[in-house]
Amino acid sequence: MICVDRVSFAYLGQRPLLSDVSLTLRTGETVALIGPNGSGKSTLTLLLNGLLKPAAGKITVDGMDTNDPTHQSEIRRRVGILFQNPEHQIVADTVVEEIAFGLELLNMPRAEMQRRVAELLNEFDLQALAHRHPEELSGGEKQRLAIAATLATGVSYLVLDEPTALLDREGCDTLFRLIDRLRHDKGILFITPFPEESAVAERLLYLDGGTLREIPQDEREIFCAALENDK
Amino acid sequence: MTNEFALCAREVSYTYRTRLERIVAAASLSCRLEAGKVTAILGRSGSGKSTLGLLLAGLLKPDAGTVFFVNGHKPSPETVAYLFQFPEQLFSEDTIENELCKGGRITLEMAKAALQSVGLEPDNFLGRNPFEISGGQARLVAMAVQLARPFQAVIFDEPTAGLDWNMRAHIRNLIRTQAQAGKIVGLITHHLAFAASISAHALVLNKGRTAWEGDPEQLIDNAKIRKELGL
Repeated sequence: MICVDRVSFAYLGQRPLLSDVSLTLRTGETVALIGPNGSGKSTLTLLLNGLLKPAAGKITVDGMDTNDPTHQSEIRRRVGILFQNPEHQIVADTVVEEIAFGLELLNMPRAEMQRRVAELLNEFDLQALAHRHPEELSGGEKQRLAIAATLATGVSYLVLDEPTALLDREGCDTLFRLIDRLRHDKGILFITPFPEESAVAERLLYLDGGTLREIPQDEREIFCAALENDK
Repeated sequence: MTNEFALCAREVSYTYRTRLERIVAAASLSCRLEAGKVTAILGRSGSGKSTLGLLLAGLLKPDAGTVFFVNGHKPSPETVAYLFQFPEQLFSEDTIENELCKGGRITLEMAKAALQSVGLEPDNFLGRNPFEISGGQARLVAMAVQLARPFQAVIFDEPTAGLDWNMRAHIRNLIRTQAQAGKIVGLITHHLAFAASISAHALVLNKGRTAWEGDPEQLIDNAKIRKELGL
């Protein structure tokens, strides 16, 4: 379980962006996070896998404190982040090398690495593109590659930071089917600027003005409709 | 009304040539964008929307066919403003005033008027660093940069990507205002509902051809065509 316990955070010289924020994310559940631009959604993402450290409060991943430098590597192996623009996290020259990149960093034996890469190419329907340069892929294909590479190292938690921003309808449908396949054994935090997309998740969190609150199940539909219409 | 000012493409074709393949992005495509109206350009990723936008703006030259204003003039960056996806990523100055006035063609008065036209108070923004404002504000500044100079037509390419519901509403009003001011407005988007809320006429592209044309409201209730066209 990821446990965020009364966390506050401010960038240097700026007003607090997050104040006393708490949340939990368990494997096997999908949680949606919505909030206006600048509310701190992406900052929260970076706090979850220890890329940023809380100014107050505590974040643990399966009991490991993100502030403890001895746990950094294991926390980042367990918490995968998919950024809004997949191009920002693709580093290799071919699809197959991109998926293998994280496994090489883990010093995985070559035979096991090849087996794992083949599994992911198959699972994400990337076999035909295996030796293509990532620059030659469509937006949706790049995103499937980024997710496959993120999952390669066996993450338990997947944070999707506005993953539909650059996708067309079919790309969104493919992503939602993928979430459905992953949701049973991963903890998924799905961040979106589209309230209607939060229906993909069992729980809904709303971040605004530095504070986070969970929207009760029976109020979700009205809450989301109000956000879209209150303009 | 065929006698109104308009920007037209007549049987334009354009093919991208990559290392591995030739991609036909426009195939004998014709369209007419009339002044005072928002014309939506819809379609799945890779259908040729942005290519058509670049052809209409004179930024790409067609392999065949012609693009022209009805007065006979050819479109060019002098007459057509083009708002790329994530235009704020093109910032290169350390104040918003310098960003607006770079190149020497925009006076301070024009810069102030452009900021006001996108809803930003000049006195509060001219002296600020464009890298230190919110994502939504940065998008508006980037729009002001393009809208500061005289133009006859403007193409918005996915203008709301990455923005929340409040900013989407603000930008919808901004686009509508441009049309009400008599400009020719093209709106490239994945989002049918957004297009339908602002335009009475849409082209839906598929493989570089016009697959459907009409009032986008008619598409909302037609699931079969939407699915065929990836909307």
